Amino acid sequence: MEHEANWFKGAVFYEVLVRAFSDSNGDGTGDLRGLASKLDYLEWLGVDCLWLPPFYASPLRDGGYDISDFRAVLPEFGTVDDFVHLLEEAHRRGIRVITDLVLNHTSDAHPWFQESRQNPDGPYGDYYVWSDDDSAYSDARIIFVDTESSNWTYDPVRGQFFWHRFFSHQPDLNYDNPAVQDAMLDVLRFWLEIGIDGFRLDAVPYLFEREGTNCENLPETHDFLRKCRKVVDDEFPGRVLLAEANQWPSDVVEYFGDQGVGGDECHMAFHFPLMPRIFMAVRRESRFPISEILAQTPAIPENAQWGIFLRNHDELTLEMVSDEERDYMYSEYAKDPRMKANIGIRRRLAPLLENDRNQHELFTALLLSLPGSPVLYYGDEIGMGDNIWLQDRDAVRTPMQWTPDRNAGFSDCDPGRIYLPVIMDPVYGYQGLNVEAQTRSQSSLLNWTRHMIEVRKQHRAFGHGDFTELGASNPTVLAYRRTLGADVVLCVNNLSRFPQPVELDLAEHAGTVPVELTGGVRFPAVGELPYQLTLPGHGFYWFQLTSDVEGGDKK
Amino acid sequence: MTTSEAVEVVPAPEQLDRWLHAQTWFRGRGPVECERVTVLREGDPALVHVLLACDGRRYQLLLGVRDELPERLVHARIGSAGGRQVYEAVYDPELTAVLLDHFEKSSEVADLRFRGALPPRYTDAPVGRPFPGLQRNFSIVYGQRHVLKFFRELVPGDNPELVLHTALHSVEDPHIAPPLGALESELDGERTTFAVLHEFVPLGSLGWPMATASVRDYLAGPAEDPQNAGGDFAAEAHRLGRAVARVHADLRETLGTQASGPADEFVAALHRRLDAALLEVEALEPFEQGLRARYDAVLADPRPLRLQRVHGDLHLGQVLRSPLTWVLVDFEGEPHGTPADRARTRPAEHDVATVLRSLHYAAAQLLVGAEDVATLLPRAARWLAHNRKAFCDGYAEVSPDLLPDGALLCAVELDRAVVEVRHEQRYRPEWTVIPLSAIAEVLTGEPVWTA
Repeated sequence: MEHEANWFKGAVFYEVLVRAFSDSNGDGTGDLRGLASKLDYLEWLGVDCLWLPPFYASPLRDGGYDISDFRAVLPEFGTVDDFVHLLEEAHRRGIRVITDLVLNHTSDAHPWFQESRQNPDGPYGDYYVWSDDDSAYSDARIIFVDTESSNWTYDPVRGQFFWHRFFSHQPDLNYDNPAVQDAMLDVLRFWLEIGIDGFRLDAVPYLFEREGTNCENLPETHDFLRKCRKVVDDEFPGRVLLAEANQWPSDVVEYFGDQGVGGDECHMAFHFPLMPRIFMAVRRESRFPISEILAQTPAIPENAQWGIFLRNHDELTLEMVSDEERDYMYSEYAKDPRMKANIGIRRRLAPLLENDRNQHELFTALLLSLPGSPVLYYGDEIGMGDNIWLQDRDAVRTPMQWTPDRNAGFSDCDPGRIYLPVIMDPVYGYQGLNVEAQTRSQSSLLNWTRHMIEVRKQHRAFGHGDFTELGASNPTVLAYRRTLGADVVLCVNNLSRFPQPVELDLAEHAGTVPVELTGGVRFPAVGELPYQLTLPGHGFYWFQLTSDVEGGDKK
Repeated sequence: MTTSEAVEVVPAPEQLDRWLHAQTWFRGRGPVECERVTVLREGDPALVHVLLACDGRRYQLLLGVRDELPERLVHARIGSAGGRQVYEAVYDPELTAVLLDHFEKSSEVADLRFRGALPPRYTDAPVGRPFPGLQRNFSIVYGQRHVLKFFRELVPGDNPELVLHTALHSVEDPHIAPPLGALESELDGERTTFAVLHEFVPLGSLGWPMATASVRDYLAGPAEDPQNAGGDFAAEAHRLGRAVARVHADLRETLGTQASGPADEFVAALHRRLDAALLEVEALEPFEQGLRARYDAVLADPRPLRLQRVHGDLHLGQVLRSPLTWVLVDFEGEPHGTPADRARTRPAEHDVATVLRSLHYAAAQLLVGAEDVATLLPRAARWLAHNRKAFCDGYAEVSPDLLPDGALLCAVELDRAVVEVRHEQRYRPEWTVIPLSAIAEVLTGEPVWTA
């Protein structure tokens, strides 16, 4: 790939589950070759970077996040060679690929753990956190409170307790052991050498343990991330590290590292609280849920970027936002059953918005214009539905709907063999809702989304520019400005279902002409007085403020 | 300044009079006398401060003077003087910048004292523009950083806005726009506040459009229980209640409290206002006995009333939601109140009652003139009950001595509604039904809506 510094700041990411996208060999499960065969579609859509959840060898007790061999591909997805093929095909189209890497723990099926439990004095004896009792680090909270009662589990083989912040089948690696650090850095190198464009580092706040602390966000953890970054910068420039730290933004910014040098840990981090705030703001018809979280989001280093999303495979749970400031979330969410359900139950975007096209467009416009790189979730671009009768998170992991043909064009296997049934309900069923049909219809959500991505890419201000919220006279209207040099983009969003007027103080742009970005229509010039706009229910505008006043209306 | 110089900058009397009488804030009828003229900047454009007297009231004006008026200032023209154009200076950024300079230097110009405590300037001077919607006062906003508010009508003495802000700021109350300075001078031998300078509250919205957005959503939606409506305002009302209680507690801490002996005098004032309203509004008659009984119920509590400085005119249009918290603005007390009225101590329930009345207006405003009042009325009542409770709960979390069902709050609320009835009857008769329905509900249990 051509090396462009900070490419990730302007990129549109697309999260795709290998299992769910396309099946190349008819075994009912999506695979790497299948995904590679759909790259033309992703290129056409305007995707710049794919994010693949883990495809490593795994007993699959935690969706592949329980890795049993860091250097092997899950056989049903293919081989390392198939992955190389995917990378080559993607790079040929200018699409990058990143994947998850779980640093914190392994599966208990990983040979390192098997060695460690059987040979305490062997080379892997100190690869995990062992203890004679379960009393240490008692200030660390239990994250999966529904399934785990302790962060320690007794291993009858070794006769000791091992430490795990997540499931008891996922022992934590012992980062105090330099050999573990080296081994994990070598894992990074292995995939980077193959050509991968970066990693989403899973569960980064928990790498180290220290008595008397909550064992999160420790300085030692940041030291190790700096080592990872150094490997990338020195040996693989242009690749990215994206932190998954489900914490409050003021804590997450620590994972970008030193502001003074433009950031020396992760290039990107997910902005977790923004997503529920967007839902809350539209539900409340008030900009404040969004204004507040953005006001509480600190500045980030120049070469860093937020990742923002509306939906992904892994939901925000309030339990993971451990900060007193979540009070706000509780007071708003806890009282409204529907809001509570939004974060608890796994739904896709379209059903969450009751298949309301206007809201779907408003949410997508917010995703594509708020500060950060947007991460789309596969299928949401066509407004795919979910299947709430499937267990837990499988509800939103059903096969991608390509065509009205058998198995939605996802696989030519016997329908009974497919890994999860395709969506067949009357509203979201694949017969009517699929890529093929939407490609043909100019007014489809898919074509609309593609057009918006295209517009976004014409203005670097969206990805690289400053963000400034503009106080709007109307509390149901969220207005902000994205600025990069002379490129000034004004975004105005009506969070209410009713039409709304708004007056914006654009005095500092007096004399400019707002040009609407999707259609190129020129609006009345900005003057000294407040700029007045009227928005339809759930409507939004993107304008470029141009100093170009052709058209003869200049006095 | 001699009179001959004043002639050079103040428009001819007939021009000035014609302009003044067209201003909604100007209440004078008789001849206008120019008491003081102070040049704040010489040259072109010049900036001039003028103190006027009319019918015993004092007003201040900021005039700009230019040889030629550019097109963008034509709308602000008042007249001409000595061959030059005179206009409202607030519309001219070149002149509003002069005011900020005076604050930065803490200048004294003739009798005018600019007292400022501005943070050091890191960038160029922000451009000062008039705040949209000029009313009783006029404000100049400096680049979303400072607000300079001039009181159009001047009353001798320290303005409550300055007194209360200074007190609240001394204990770092988070629910005000921090004060940064004041423009002062003597009026009738008394130190008088001419203008106040505050930090600007960025990205704020008033409580009124937030509350009414919530009502609109609830009335149009299927939810029976307002807490299940998307636009539920209760969490905001709760936070607002906490903010008001904090401000009250800080005012008690800094400016003290008074124990009023017998409540007789307080209750007598309620009766007097009812007497006055009854003379004007026939529709209040059926409620007279009920109202008087509720007022007298305050006397049943043997404890003395606790009086303190309050906001005095608190409603949803005087509270600003910033991204992080609620901010109370405009601490000038009752509009058109006498200086004694404005500086009076009152029970904290006064502000609570005016916010509750404002919530009622928010709930009921869509019903005025509506076809299906019968359907909407019970829903509006549910919205109100839900948000009243949230506001009072929030308040009581900070100040547990508030009694939401107490006789005092009830009496003050009814008193405010009576005042509103009288005011609406005079100026907006079709809205009289809103405060009347509130009185009816308290006294009869039914929100009678007789449009």
